[in-house]
Amino acid sequence: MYKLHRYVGGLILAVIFLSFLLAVLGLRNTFITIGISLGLLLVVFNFIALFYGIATRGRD
Amino acid sequence: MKIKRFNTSQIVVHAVAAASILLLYFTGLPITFPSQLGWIPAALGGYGVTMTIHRIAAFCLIVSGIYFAVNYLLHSFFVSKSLTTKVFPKTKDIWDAVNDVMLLFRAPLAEKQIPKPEKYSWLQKFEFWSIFFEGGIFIITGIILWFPFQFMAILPKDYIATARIIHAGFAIISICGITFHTYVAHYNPERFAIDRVVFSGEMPEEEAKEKHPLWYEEIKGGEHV
Repeated sequence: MYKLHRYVGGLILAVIFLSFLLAVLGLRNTFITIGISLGLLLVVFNFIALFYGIATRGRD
Repeated sequence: MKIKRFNTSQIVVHAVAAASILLLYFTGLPITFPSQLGWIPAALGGYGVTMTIHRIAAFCLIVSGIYFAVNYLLHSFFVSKSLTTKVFPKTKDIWDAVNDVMLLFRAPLAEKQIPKPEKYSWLQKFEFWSIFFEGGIFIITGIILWFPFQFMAILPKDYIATARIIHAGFAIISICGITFHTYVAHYNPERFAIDRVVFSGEMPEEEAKEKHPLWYEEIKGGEHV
């Protein structure tokens, strides 16, 4: 489980960085759109987690 | 039993700064990559609205950063220096980082080499200072881009274009921080789905003992634990 977690994390990270790098170089294709959207998805996930943490602050 | 780890100021600053930074990403990424994420400004009501939200979030980040710095300085001068000194990097942190990486590659380390974090581990200090310096660069370049005509009167035109490249480039680099933070605070199997310490300000004693043994020893008054 730990190994899977590490490999999946590494893969997502690689896709995001590679797509940002290629987008900066001016390339446009589906892979880049998926990578940038994954980056955005992480931002949205963190947003939800932040508000969930604030909303459930007193439940410990 | 729980141990106090963060005060109310730290909890509030984390919440405001995190919300501002995430909003800055959410509005900044489509401005930088309009061909891939152009649907976001369209959904928000156009690039004008997106830029306004981006600037409001930037203002909130600047205010929270100033409040945080002033609060730390006042606390250092009038209450205790420990709040500030605990986040400063030490030689021990460099060795902790080296040994942590060696552990990652399963190097056989002696007992005394295994990192024993203080209140903040080398990784947490690294994250804190990277946000501090990146934030500084974002604020300087962001203000130049916010008032380009005023700055054009005192700076060469090339500087404005360079500021834009630096601003966007550092945004991409700092996405690294978000990815890293997501894994440490959310996807980590020990903490999934969320690390509540930064919201409640309290850490379970067992966790403090295991993850921050030197800090735990310190708050227990130096007694052998």
